[in-house]
Amino acid sequence: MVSIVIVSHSKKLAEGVKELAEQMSQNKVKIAAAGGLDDESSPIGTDAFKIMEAIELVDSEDGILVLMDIGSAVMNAELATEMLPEEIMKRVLLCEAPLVEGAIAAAAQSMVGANLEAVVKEARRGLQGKQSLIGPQEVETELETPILTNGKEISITVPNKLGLHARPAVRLVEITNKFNNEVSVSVNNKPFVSATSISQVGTLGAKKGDILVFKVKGDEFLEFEKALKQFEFDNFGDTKEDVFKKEETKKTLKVSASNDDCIQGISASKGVAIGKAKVFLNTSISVDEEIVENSLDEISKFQKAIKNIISETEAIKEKTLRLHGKENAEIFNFHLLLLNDNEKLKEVEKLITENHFSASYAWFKVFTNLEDMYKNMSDQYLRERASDIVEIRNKVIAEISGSQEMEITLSEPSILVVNEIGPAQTLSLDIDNVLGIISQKGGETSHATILARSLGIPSITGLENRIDGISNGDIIGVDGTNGIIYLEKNHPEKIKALREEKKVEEDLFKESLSKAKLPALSSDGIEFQILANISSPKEAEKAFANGADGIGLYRTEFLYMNREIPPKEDEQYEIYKQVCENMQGLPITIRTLDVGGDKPIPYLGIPEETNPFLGLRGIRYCLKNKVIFKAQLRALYRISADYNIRVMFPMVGMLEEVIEAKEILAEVRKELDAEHIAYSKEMKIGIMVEVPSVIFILPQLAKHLDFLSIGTNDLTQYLLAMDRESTFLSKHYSALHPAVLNALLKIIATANKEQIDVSLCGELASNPKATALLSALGLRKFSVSGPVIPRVKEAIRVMDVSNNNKIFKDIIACNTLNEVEKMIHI
Amino acid sequence: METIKLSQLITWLEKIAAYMQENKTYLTELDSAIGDADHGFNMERGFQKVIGKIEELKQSKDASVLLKNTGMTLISSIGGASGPLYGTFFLQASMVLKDKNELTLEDLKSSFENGLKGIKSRGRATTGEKTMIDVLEPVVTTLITAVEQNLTISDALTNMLAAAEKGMKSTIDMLATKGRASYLGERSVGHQDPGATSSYFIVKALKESIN
Ligand SMILES: Nc1ncnc2c1ncn2[C@@H]1O[C@H](COP(=O)(O)OP(=O)(O)OP(=O)(O)O)[C@@H](O)[C@H]1O
Ligand SMILES: [Mg+2]
Repeated sequence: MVSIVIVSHSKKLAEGVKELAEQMSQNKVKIAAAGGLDDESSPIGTDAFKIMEAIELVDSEDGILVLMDIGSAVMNAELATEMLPEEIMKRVLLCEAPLVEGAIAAAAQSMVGANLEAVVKEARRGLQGKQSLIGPQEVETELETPILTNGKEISITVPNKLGLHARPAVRLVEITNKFNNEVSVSVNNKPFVSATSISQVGTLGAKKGDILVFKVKGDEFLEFEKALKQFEFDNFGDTKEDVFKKEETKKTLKVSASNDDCIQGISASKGVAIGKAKVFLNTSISVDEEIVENSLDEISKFQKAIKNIISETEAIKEKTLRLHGKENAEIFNFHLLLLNDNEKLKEVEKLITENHFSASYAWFKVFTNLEDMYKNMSDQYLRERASDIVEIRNKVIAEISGSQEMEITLSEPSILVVNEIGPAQTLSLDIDNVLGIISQKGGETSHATILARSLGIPSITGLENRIDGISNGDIIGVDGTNGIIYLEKNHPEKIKALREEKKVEEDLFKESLSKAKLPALSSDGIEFQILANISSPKEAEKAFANGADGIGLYRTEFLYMNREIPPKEDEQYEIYKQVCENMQGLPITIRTLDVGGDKPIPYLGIPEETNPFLGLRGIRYCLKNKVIFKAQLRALYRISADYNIRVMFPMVGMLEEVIEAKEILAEVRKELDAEHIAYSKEMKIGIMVEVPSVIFILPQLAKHLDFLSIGTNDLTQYLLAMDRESTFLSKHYSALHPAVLNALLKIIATANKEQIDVSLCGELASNPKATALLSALGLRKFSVSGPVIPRVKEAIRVMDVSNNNKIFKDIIACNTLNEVEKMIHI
Repeated sequence: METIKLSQLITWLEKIAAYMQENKTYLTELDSAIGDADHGFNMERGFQKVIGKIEELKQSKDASVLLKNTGMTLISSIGGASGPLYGTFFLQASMVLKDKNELTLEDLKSSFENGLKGIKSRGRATTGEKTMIDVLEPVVTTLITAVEQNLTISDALTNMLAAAEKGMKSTIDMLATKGRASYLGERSVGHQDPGATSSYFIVKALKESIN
C-alpha cells in the first residue's frame, strides 16, 4: 500500500491531518507526520531530518507520497528525499496537492491498494469535491489523458452472438474499472480507445468472432487478464436465451405480406392484444444553437442536471431490480454509464466554455452526434441503442430547461401508440392498463422492447408514419407475433379472428405451463421437489412459469438495497404478497434480511470490520437491530395468515441465536394478538445451514426448528476457510470438496434421524451433473435458480436413485477434489 | 600564492554567528514586515548550533568536510526557508573543495558559484525576486571578475562586500515573487529582504575574518 507523509510547519496541523487521513483509511494506510521543530521557544518551522525519518518510518515498496504545506516545507521535503538512500528515494513522490484534501483523497485511494500513480492523481483531484459544492470554480483544464497505445497486450474473442452490444460493453467497462490499470482497447485495427469510456467501447462495433485487443499498463495486469478470460468464457454475460429470442424475432420478420390496408411493422414482443388505442405522439425534441456568455453558470446548471438524472435513473434501476429482477435492471446500467461517461461530459463542458453554447445545446449536440453514430452502426443491436441515447438526451434537456417530460398516463386498459418509448418510460407505465405497445421507432432489441417482452406485453415497432391514421379511441388489434396491426373499422373480421386466436394462445400457454409443472420423478419413482431461488416478485413469476414446485430461497435483502431508509412493514407486506400471488399457493421459504459481509447497505449502520464475513452478518445483525428485524417479522406473520410461507434465518451459528430469534417471534405474535391482526400460528421456522459450527449441534437445534436449508456457497467458504472471491484459492474452492461432501452427509443423516425437513440451495444444486450425487447423499429437495429448473427436473427424470446409491457409495471416501470431480464427470 | 586557511574559515563561521546574534532583532523585524518574523531567530539558532560544534569543526580534515558539516548543521536547525537554502549553499560549496586545506581566490569563486547554483535550484528562484539571491548573485559575479583580473583576496572581498550591500539595498524596491513575502504582493515593495540582509552579513563576516 502506498504510504503517506504529512509535512507542515505546525506539529499540531501535521498530526491533525494525519488523524483525519487515518480515519479515512480506517488505519489501513501507513501515515507519518513530520511537523514543526523540536524547539519549544519557536516550534513553528520545518525540519528536513524529521521529514527524512518520517519517510523511512513508513517506507513502503509501493511508494511514499509526501504532502506538505508551503515554503520551506517543500524545500526541506526535497532535501530530505535527496538525503535518503537511493532505493528509497526512487519511490518517494512529492505532491503539490492541497494538504488536507490531498491527504484524505490519497488515503482513500491508497487503502484500496492503488499504485502510487493513481494515489497521486486522486490527491491532485482532492479539491474537486469542494469546488463542485462552492463554485464558481474554474473549469478544469486537466489535459485529456492520451490513449494508451503501448503496454502489455491481451486478446479475447467476442464470443456472444450479438457482439459487444450495450450490455456487454457496460460489463466490460465495469470489469476494467475494477482493476487499477490503464487500459485501451481496439478491434480490427481501429484506433485504440479508452476501455473505461462507455461511449467509446460501445462504438467499437465488435461482432461475434472479432478479436478485441487490449493494451494494459498497471499493477493489476494478471488480475485483469483473468477477469477478461472469465468474461469471454461467460459469453460476455449474455445468456443463450438472448440469442434464442433474437432468432425467434428474426423469423417473424419474414412475414411481410402487405395485407391491403392493415399496417405492417416489426414484431417486437409476441402475443395478441385487442383494445382501444391511446395515442401519444410528440414532436421530436430539437434544441437551437444558443450562445450564453456566463459559461460558469451553464456548467453548474449542466452538472446539476446530470447529477439529478443520475439519481433518478438509479432510483428507477432500483425499482426495476425489486419488481422485475436483475436482468431488466441491467438495462439502466447503460444509461448510468452514459451519464457518467467522462469523455462525453468533458466534450459538453468544452463546448460550453469554449464555444459559449448553452448547456442544453451543447448536450443536445454531443448526444445527437452520438445518436447518429449509433444509428449508422452496421450492427443492428447497436443501432437500436440509439433510442436509449435519445431517452437520456431528452431527459437531461428537460432537466436543464426545467420542463416536464411527456408523461404517459392511462386510465383504462389501452393499446399505447407512441413515436418512441424509452425503457424508463416503459417501466413507469401502469402495466395493468397496457394491453400492447406500438411505436414508430425502436427495434427488436431496443431496451423498451426487451422490457415489453419480459413483461409479456405484445408490441410492434418500426412503423414510421404508417400509424398516423390511428386516432385516440380506435379499436385496434395487435398481432405482435406477426407484427401486424388491424383497425376494427376497416377489418372487423380480422379483429374477431384475433380474439379467437388470443383465446387459443391463452390455452396453449396454460398447457405448456402445466407440462413444465409436472413433478420430478426419477425413473425408479422417487419424487423430488425442485424449488426456486428468487429475489423479486418478477422472478417468482418466472420461477412459476419454469415449473418450480415452490420457492426454496427468497432473498429479501434486495428490498433493502439502493435506498435511504429500510422498507416499512406495509411495503414489505405488499411485495411478499406479490411473490406469494405469483406462486399461486405453492410453498414459499422467505429468508430474513441477510446483510453484512459483501452486502453493504449504508443506512443500516453496519460498522466497518476487519473481517466482515466473520462479523455482524445475517441473524447476528438482526438480533442487534430489533426494530428493523421486527418490521420484517411482522410483515411475514401477516402474510402467513393467507399464504403458505416458512421463515428462515441466515448465518445462524449457535442455539442461543435461535432461542433469541424465537423470543422475538413470540413478542411479535403478542403484539399482533393485541392489535387483532391475523397470522398463522403454524408458520414454520428454520435456518440456513452455512456456519460449520451448526453441524455439530444439529440435534439440539432440531428441537427448536421445523426445517434446515443447506447453503452450499457459504458453507463451503466457511468450512474450507476460503474466501470464495479469492482468485488465488479458486482452484480448491468447491462445494464438491471431500470435506464439504462429508459435512453434507452428516447434516442430511442427522436431519433424517431427527426427522427434520432438509433441503439444499446454492450453486451446487443448480449443477445437473451434481444432481445424481446429491440424490445418493439422501437429498430430495433442491432450490435452484428459475431458468435451470427444467434442466434439473429433466436430469432427475432420467436417473435411477438406487443405482446412484451404488455408484456413489464410496464418494465420501474420496481423497481429493480431483477424485470427486472425476467420479461425477465434471 | 595568497590563500584562505581553514582557521580563517572557522573565524568566518564564528563571526557569522556573532552577527546573527547581534542582529537577531533587526533581521526579525525585517521579516515581520514581509514575512513571519522568524528569520532572526532562525539564523541565530542555526549558527549557534554551528558554534556548538566548532571544536569538532576545527578537526575537519579539509575545507570540504568543514563546510559540509556546517551545511548539515544548518539544515537540521534553521527551520525556515533559509535552512535548506543556506544548508544547500554550504553543502554545494563544499563539493568543489575536496582535499583542500587552503583556498585560493579561484577556489573561493568556484565554491560560492556552486553554492549559489544550489540555492537557485533549491528555491527555483532567480535575481529580482527579492531574495538572498539578489545579494549572492552579484557577489559571485564580482568574484568571477576578481579572478579574471587577478585581484588579491582582500581586494576581491572589498568589492564583494560592496556588491552585497548594493544587492541588499536593491531588494527594497523589489516586488517579492518567491517565499512568504510573495503572499503580500505589492505590499512587499518598500521593505528590505531579511534573507538578503543575512547574506550581506555572511559576506561581511568573510571579509572581516580574512583581513
Ligand atoms: N524560493 C526562494 N529562493 C531563494 N530564497 C528564498 C526563497 N524563499 C525564501 N527565500 C529567502 O528566505 C528568506 C526567509 O527566510 P526565513 O528563514 O524567514 O524563512 P521563512 O520564509 O520563514 O520560511 P518558511 O517557508 O518556513 O515560512 C527570505 O527573506 C528570502 O530571502
Ligand atoms: Mg521567516
